[in-house]
Amino acid sequence: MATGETRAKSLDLLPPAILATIMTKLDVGSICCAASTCTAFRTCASQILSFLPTFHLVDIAPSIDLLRPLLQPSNPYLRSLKVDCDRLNDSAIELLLRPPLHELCLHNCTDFSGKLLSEIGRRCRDLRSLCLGSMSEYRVQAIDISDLKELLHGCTQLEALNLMFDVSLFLHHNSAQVWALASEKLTTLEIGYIPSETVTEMLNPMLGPHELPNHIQPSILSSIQKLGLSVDYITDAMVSIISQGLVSLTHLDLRDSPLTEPEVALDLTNAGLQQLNRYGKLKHLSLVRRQEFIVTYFRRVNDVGVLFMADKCADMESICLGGFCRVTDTGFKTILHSCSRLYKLRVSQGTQLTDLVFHDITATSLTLTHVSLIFCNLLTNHAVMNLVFNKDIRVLDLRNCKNLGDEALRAISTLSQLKTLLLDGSDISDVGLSYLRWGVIGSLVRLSIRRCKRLTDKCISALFDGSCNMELRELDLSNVPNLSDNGILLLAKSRVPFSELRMRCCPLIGDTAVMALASMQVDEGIWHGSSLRLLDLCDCGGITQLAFHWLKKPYFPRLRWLGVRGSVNRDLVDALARNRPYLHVECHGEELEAD
Amino acid sequence: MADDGVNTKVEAVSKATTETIELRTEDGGVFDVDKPVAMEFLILKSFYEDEGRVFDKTSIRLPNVKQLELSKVIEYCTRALEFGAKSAAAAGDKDAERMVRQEREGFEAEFVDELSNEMLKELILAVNFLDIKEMLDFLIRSVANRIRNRSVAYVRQFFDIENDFTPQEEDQIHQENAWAFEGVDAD
Repeated sequence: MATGETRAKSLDLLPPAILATIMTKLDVGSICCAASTCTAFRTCASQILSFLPTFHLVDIAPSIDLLRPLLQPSNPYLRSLKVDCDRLNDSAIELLLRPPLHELCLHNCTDFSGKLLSEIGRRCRDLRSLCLGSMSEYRVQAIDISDLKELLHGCTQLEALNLMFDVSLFLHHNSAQVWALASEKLTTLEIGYIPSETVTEMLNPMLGPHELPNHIQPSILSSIQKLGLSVDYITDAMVSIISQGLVSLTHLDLRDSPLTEPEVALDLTNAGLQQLNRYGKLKHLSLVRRQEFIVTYFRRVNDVGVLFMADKCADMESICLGGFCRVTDTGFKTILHSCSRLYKLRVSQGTQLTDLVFHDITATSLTLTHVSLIFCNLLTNHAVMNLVFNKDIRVLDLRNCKNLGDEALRAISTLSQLKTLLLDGSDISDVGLSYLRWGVIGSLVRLSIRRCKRLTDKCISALFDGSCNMELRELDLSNVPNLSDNGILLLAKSRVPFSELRMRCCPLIGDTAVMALASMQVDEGIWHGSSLRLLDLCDCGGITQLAFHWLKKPYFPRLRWLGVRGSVNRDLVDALARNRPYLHVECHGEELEAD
Repeated sequence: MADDGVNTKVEAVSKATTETIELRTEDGGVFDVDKPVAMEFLILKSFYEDEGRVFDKTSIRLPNVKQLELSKVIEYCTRALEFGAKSAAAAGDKDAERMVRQEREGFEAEFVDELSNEMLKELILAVNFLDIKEMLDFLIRSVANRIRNRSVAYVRQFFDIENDFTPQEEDQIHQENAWAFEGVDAD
């Protein structure tokens, strides 16, 4: 314990135990940073790493050499491990898979073989939650069904399984017997891609041609409460078998991306919709038809189906319907009036959805918090003006509703809890955005005004005048043709510590913008450089090699994801990659996603 | 913590003639602290309860604590007790519980916002000496929040420490940890 007079504020006086406790509250990156300050901290950090219970390293892709000193082999307390495995392969299996693990999440496992699955089953027997991303993405590494069997057989405590990749290569016939091995504790199952026929077969083994007549099968996966599947076609048969077999189902999330227009036998109809929620426990439902390959909808579902469904779903808390082009106001309104506990509503491609749906929303006792109305072109400002009577809305996604304008923004500015606002493709102007200044801008964390073609630099000066404390961290200004370097200069001057900034396809944005952002000062001038982790400059008109000078170290010290394209030299990109080996650079125009 | 239930604590705090303990700081400050609040300081609690001392009116000298720090500690502990009581009263009512939680978070955010880095460290030392677990955890979390995702230079400045690595060690560290901090080099 320290005594009296000479209390110089030095490190020596903070007891090592306290220092250690402070470090345990930090992420791995911050621990390594602290370790680089002095010898005392370095010792402390290496001790911490030997008993750290949580190890999450997802914003960079470590090589095995970087990972080895961090993942101490003798750490018996390691319970949760999350790693971006883009630079790892089977040789990292021993390092990653530890017996005490309860939670394991590995992204980008493209270079791992099926051995990863079987070894998890052998080594991580206490695992409760497993998430694997992007395995066998390039079909190079083979996974065998026996690998999955080992996994399910070994991990008897598994509660959540998330295979975020295409399982159709190894999961076909007799898949039912594999899933029969799953522990009874398995309550959550999510699969990245699986054909609906396989789903139907795996949940109802009686349909299998090889079943003996007197062979009694226990119901497969009956303990599942949360099911999330991406399939080829959502069919009546699949929905029926899911609703019948999964007696404890509370969350159902189905997405499909048809390659061809579905035949009647391979589609969802009113009859299928009626089968849902057979046991009355469903709280969250999501049925989405994506237009990934062709333009297609749930053409065989109309108001009748939705009415029957709403009748049985009075306890629903979250409903998401994507691609229901034949459902009119009647159907959507019935949902709002039947489901009194609804807090999350998401409608995408609601081609017949109009303002009338929200006309008497005040008559319901709804407390919506998440509202998404995407590609609902008949919606006007009136709908928003009624919607905002739900004062607790935290997420408002109105992308591609091209008739929404400034009056909608005036209404939105009254939402004091709003955290996310997406207005892509709407008809708003600078005046409209300035309405946000008097209210909602203080709570917003994420704002997108992509493709709002009427906006100019004036909207930046209206919103970011430095006078209020902003929580805003993610901003998407892509495809705003009149946005120029001056606007970005204003943004930089406002000193808002953004973490994500997207400015794709802005012809007037150039080197000056990059320089302005690079010169942002944070931390009272101790640290020069913006706080940006993600910057997307894809197809910005004025980017030349000068900008690349400002993208190198020591500028943008926290940058992890960068998007560049257009008239860009391959050499410049390579030089940048050498200067910043842990930066993800996207040069092909794909959207950037921060983990 | 105390043997009495939370409700008794609430009563004790709200009564005008509540029992108090006099505490003296090393720089001459004198504080009359309500007994329930003072009993949050485990160093005092064990002084009285474990050693079976009679609770009388003599004042206690705290050799390692200054006035400014003690007043902040008392402020935090008093509010923490209040929140604890409100939480207990709201048990079962989700909305009320959420409101108490938000109120507490608001108070804590404001409390820590007003503290300079120096003050934060001094408080940790004081609270560590007085052995107040809840407040210590709160202060530690606050320090972690202030140094998370910061540059090496910032962390050095925060703890007022010097770079004592040899050039070879410095190189090795750069190699190992460069991924965690890019751009802002050592001074």
